[in-house]
Parts: sequence; structure tokens; C-alpha cells
Amino acid sequence: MEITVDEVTRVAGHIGIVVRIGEDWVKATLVQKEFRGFEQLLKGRLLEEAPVYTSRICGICQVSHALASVQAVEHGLEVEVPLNAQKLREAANLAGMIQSHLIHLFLLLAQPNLKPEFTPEKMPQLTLSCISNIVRCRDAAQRIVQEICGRAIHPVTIVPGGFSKTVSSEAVSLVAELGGELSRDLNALYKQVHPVFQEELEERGVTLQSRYMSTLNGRINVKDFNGAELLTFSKEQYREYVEEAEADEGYGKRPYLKTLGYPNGFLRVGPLARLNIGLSLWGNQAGVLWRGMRHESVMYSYARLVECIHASERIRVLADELRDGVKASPARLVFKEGEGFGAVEAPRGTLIHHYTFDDEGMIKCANIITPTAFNALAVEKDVEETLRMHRGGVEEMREMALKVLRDYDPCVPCATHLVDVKIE
Amino acid sequence: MKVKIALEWLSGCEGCEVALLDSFNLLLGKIQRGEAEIVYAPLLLDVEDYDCADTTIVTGSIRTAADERRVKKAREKSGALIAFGSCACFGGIHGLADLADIGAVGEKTGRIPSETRLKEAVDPVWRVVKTDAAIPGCPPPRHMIDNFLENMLSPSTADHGKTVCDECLRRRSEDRKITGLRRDLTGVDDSRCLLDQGIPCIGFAVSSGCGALCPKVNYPCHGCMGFSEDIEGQDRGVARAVSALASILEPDVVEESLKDPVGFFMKFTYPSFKLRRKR
Amino acid sequence: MKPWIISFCCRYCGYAGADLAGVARIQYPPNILIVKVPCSGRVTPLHVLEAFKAGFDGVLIVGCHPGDCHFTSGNTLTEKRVKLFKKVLDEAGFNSCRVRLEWVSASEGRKFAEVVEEFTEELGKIPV
Repeated sequence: MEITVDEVTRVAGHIGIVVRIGEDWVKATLVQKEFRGFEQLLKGRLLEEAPVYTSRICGICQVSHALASVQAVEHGLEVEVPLNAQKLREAANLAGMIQSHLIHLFLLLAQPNLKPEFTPEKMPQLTLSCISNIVRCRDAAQRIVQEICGRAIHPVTIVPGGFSKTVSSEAVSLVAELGGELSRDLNALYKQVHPVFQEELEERGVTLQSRYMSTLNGRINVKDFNGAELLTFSKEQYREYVEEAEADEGYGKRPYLKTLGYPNGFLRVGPLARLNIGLSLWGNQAGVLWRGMRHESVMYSYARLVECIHASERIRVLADELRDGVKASPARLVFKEGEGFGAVEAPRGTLIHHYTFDDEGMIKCANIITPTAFNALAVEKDVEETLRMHRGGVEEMREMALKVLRDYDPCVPCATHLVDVKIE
Repeated sequence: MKVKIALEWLSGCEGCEVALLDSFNLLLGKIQRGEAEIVYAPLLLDVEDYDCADTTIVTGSIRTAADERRVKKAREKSGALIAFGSCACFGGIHGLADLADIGAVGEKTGRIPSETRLKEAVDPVWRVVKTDAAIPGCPPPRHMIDNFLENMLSPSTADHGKTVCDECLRRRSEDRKITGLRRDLTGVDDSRCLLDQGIPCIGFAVSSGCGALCPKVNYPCHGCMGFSEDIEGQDRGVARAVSALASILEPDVVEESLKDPVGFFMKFTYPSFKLRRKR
Repeated sequence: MKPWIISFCCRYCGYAGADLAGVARIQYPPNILIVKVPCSGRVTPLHVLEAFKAGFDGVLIVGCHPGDCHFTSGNTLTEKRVKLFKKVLDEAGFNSCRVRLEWVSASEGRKFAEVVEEFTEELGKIPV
């Protein structure tokens, strides 16, 4: 039996999936169908403009791309960033995360009911008024990004060294206020929707035994299924531990852990990984809403919602520490030949930017590994395992495969890169 | 009368989709009042195809054969086709990948399904189908989107007579002679024109509409709204901008001043430049 | 009759030089369309662009020698603009050899002819 979906709806980007089902085996292949070539286009560009280009890799996780990018520039040119600027950048990243998660949970995954008639009950059929509330929450998160980055989509103020213009104490106070509002609204939303997850959990259970990866302050951590620490390395060392293979079909790379080989070296990144590792973006153990480790793919969605709540609280804490505002701190750029690395937690997981450049500060080469690329192998395996465990008719299997894919919130514009990149 | 809206997407970053979602409540209001309905939007609905739409919003630009098919289908099925965002209007920032000849790179790998093969070069929407309106910006400014959603059938587009300079509040010097262009923003004066301070800002040639929001935060304009010409005349905008900048640079710095001239003059509009590289 | 060249010649120097070539019966290739302009400074990258879009293979701008411009600094302006535009064209993937700026005085008929000859030959060698 073969199930092919040419264009999966309700995911970001153009992606298809092909599932071949045999007697006792299943083979799933993601086919990424778009390619714009950012790694290639960065060649010959000005190094300090990398964030301007790379934020356009994706309009959803653009803040994270810009931050990973500017980090790589700063790392390569040995530019220091004042602590206050780092904190404000973190707040922007978290706000970007909230709006991204909300898009996925309530506008994509949940399949909003965009008809005027009221349809009550659970997800996946949200009512129009529910959606309005979520749009308002997103609005608050986007407003935070705008106050810090100059605009809500494709940040402007993020330059090597910090911010291009002083962020006033009024702006930071507004950020704190919005963070508080978000915290309240998201907690209310959580109470409304969390019972729904229980049903899905029972239906699908644990399908994949995987490793989890996350990054904090430039250090990347991998834990195994039982929570034991497997690997830890700094962002500059990523190539010693991570290798990238070509996808069987379509544009796309399949990164994997070198020590475990291909394809066994697959891993998972993103909200599930972050909460499992306990090394979340805000440096503390996840609080009351998450305990221990959970492995069901459905828990990705639950993790996303929990992260939104944590992120909003963290934004408020950060903004409170920055009440005097954050001064502009663009750095003097002294160009010399070299390379730079950046690693941040984007909404969907660990994001790595790596550039090499010449003595005039022109980019020679770029390698960008996105969280959706990191998750690709896991998605394929998860679909395979899920369908092996839950056999059914063609329609049922098709729906199940798509559900699994959507759990990971793939961001296809991010994920399409080619392996033909040689680091010079 | 219910307006049928379709949302088609080509090759882009989906920032325009997110921008539309930012203003989504306006659209939801119309849906709730029975004034509009979304008949097709692969991002939001499990609808594989549609019969016809009154207005189709197209985001992204034409990079693959599949993109061409999609936009042609949208043209056939729609009353009005709106190019939304700089990719649809001008080709967009990823058009610069053609400088690196990525079409060839895509072909080498051989595992690419034929419909998703890259075309020779990126094209903005108007090169392939007739476009009824264009809303530029990367993404378009919020107030332009809100305006557009309020007045579905008559979107306001950028005023080609004005540039970002007209909206920028920074003080410009009367007599401009620029002795060099620099690459960092240290010691920037918050109130003076960025170009006067040697920071390469192309706002002087770029369509107004965004409120000069980048210069407002000390960041030079990169031209995402396109040149102050109509969408089919962007290459003239390039030529004019080159002329203008060269005129105010000191002769000995003209050639050395810009290390990445295409990045400066055509960051978002390279695909619209007629004389670009073809394979 | 390829390659087709359009030449913008300033009235005081370039055009007069071309005229002199004609009067003195100095031969040069016929595939050239000469446009008289009051000053080479009148010619901008926009004209160059439109010329190529119209189908010309080469654009030749002819002005007064530096220091001799009838309008003082028109030729300086042109020189800066052409320099920058050529750089932009090269980087954009268009061979900027197709654009040429030359200084020809009213008495340099022979030089004008030589320039056209040379430019024609060069254009013949560039792939379309």
C-alpha cells in the first residue's frame, strides 16, 4: 500500500509525504518541495547584514534566525554584547516563540472552524470567538517583538553588539505589562484546552524512543531517552558531533549524531526536548506544569502550550530587571578572516548558524541547520512506528500520518537546504 | 454580498502570512458578519481546490515550476489577483540566490521531483500573470494590511510620488558630499540623516508607506517597499538610485564605497532587474 | 548588422569629434546610432538601462576631457555615475564591458573612429 500526500495542508510551507506500507514494515519519506538557497545567497554578502537576510528564511521564527545570525557574526568578529542587551534579546526570542506556538496550536493544528455558526465542544473545532482571543494573545506577543526589535516581523534593531537604538524605559515597561497580560490570558487558555490532550494521548501513546537536544548559552546538550546526559558540546564543535545526510527525495538535509551513525543517530528538538532536558530557555527546571520526561509525540503540543506560559512569565521577569531601559550598543566592526557560530533555541528547536568570511568581512560560506531539519528523521521514524502499531484503512492511516507530522510543527521554509555546501 | 477570498502561496518565508494573521481579527469580523468567506488557504484549511474566488492574495515569488502552476491557476480562478509582499511584487530577497546560480545546484542532486525543480531565475508574479494590485513590503506595513482588509476590493498601494525620505524625520544637510560609506553604526547621531553620516541608506529612492520605521530606530533603509516606481518599473528605480548615489559621492570613493552593490541596490528587487544573470 | 551600438555624444566635444571623422572621411563601423546631447552629464544609468532593454548591444558615452566640460562638471558627474553603474552591472551578472565612457575632443576625429572600431570588435567577442 502506498499513501501519498502531495501538499500537506495546515503546516508552514510546501511539503509532501510518501508512506509505503508492507506486511510488517512501513517506510515514510518527507518530501520537502521548496528551496530558496539562503546558504548560497549569503556568499558574497556583507557579514554584518547576515541577520537581515537570514531572518527572511522564515517569517514565523524570524527573531530566532536573526539572533542566531547576529550571534555568529559577533562570535566571528569577537564582539561583546552587554548583559542587558542579551536579556532583552532573550525576551524578544521568547515573545517570538509565543506567537509562533500560538499559530501552530490554534490556527494550524486545531483546524479552526472559520464558519460563522457556533460549534461548541473540543479542539479540533475551535469557535470564531476562541480564535479572536488567540489572535489577541498573538497581538500582545507581536507587540513585544515590535517594541524591542523595531517591528513585529523581520527584526530591525538587532545589530552586532546589541541594539541599534536605545530601548526606552517606557518601552520596557510596556513589555513587562504585555508579558503580564499574556501570562494571565495564556493560563486561562491552558485551563480551557488541556483536558483535550488526554484523549489524544490515550489514542496514540509512545511511538518513538529518541534522544533529545537543546541549547543554552552556546552549549548544546543531548540527553537520552532515560534522561541521562549523552553529549554536551559548544556550538563551535557542532561538526564534530553532527553530520548531515541528503534526504531520499526532495530538498532537505537529515542531520544526525555522528557517534550513532545514520539513521540511528536521529534525535528530537523543540518544546518536548526542551522540557524533557529541563535545560529550558530560562535556565530553570520547568515548573509545576511539567514533570519528568514525556515521550508521546502528542505531548509536543502540550509542551508548546506550557512553554508559552513559561515564556510569558520569563518575559515579565526580564523586563522587570531592565526597567531603566537598554542602551544602544552597536559595535565597532574590525574585519579579519575567520568563522563564527551561533546557536539559539528557536520555537521549533535548536537552530545553528555558521559562517566563514574573508578579511573584508564578506561571507564566503554559510551553513544553517534548522530545528525542522533536526527533527526530520524523527518525524519519518515516528510516522513509521505509529502506523506499524496502529494499522487501519487507507484513510485512517493517512490521517494518522498527517497528525504525527503536524505534532512536530514543521517549518518547511526553514528546512530546505542542500548538502552541497562545502565549508572553506 | 459575500466576498470569496483565496490565499495562495508560492516560494517565500511566510512572513506575509504571519502579517495577515496579525490582522486576522479584521478578517474574522467580516467572516462573522457574513461579508466574506475563505474558500482556499492551504495554511489554514484542508481544502484541496476551489472553483473560483473574488480576490486571491498571492504571497511569495515564482521559484519552481509548481509555483508557476499555482499562480496561473489562481489567475484563472480569481476576479482580482493581488501580489502581496515584496516577493510577489518584486521577486524578493531570495532572488539574490540567482547570483549564485542555484538553479544549477538544485538540478545536480537529481532526487528532486520534476515539478519542484527550480526555474532558471526567480520571477515576481507580474512577469507570469496579470496582477490587479500590488502591496509591497517585507512584510507590508500593518496599517496597509489593515486598510486592505477593510476595503477588500480596492486596496491602497504605495504612493509612488513619495519616498521614505518624505516620511523620515531625521535632519538632512543641504549640501551633501559623502566622503565614504561605513559598515557599523557606532556613534550614530539619533537625529541626523543616516546617509549624511555615511551609513548606506537607500530610503531616498524607496517608496513611502512604512513610516520610515527602520531609520526611526537608527537602521538604514534596505528598500523592502521597492523603488518609487510601479512594479514593472523597478529596474528603472535601480538605475535612478545608482545615479543619485553616485552624484553625491566624492569621485575617489565611488568605486570602493560599496562592497556589495547588488545587496545595496537590489536587495529585494533583483528579480525585477531586466539585465540580471540568466543561466 | 550586429553588434548595435548607441552612442550619446556631447555636442561640444564628442559629437563634434564624430562629425570631424565624417568630414575627414575616416572610416568606422556603420552599426552605430549617434545621439547628440548637450552634455555627457545628461546621460544617466537610466538611459544606459533603457538602451539595453531596447536591444542595443553596447552603449558608448562620449564627453569632453576632464577639465574641458562646457558646463564645468557635467563630465565628472557622468564619470561617477557610469563607474558605479558598471560595478552594479558586473555584480548583477551583466557584462559591464558593454558600457563605455570615452573622452573625445572636437579635434579628435580619428580617436572617435578608433574607439568605435575597438568597441565593435570587443562586443563581437562577448557572448550574447
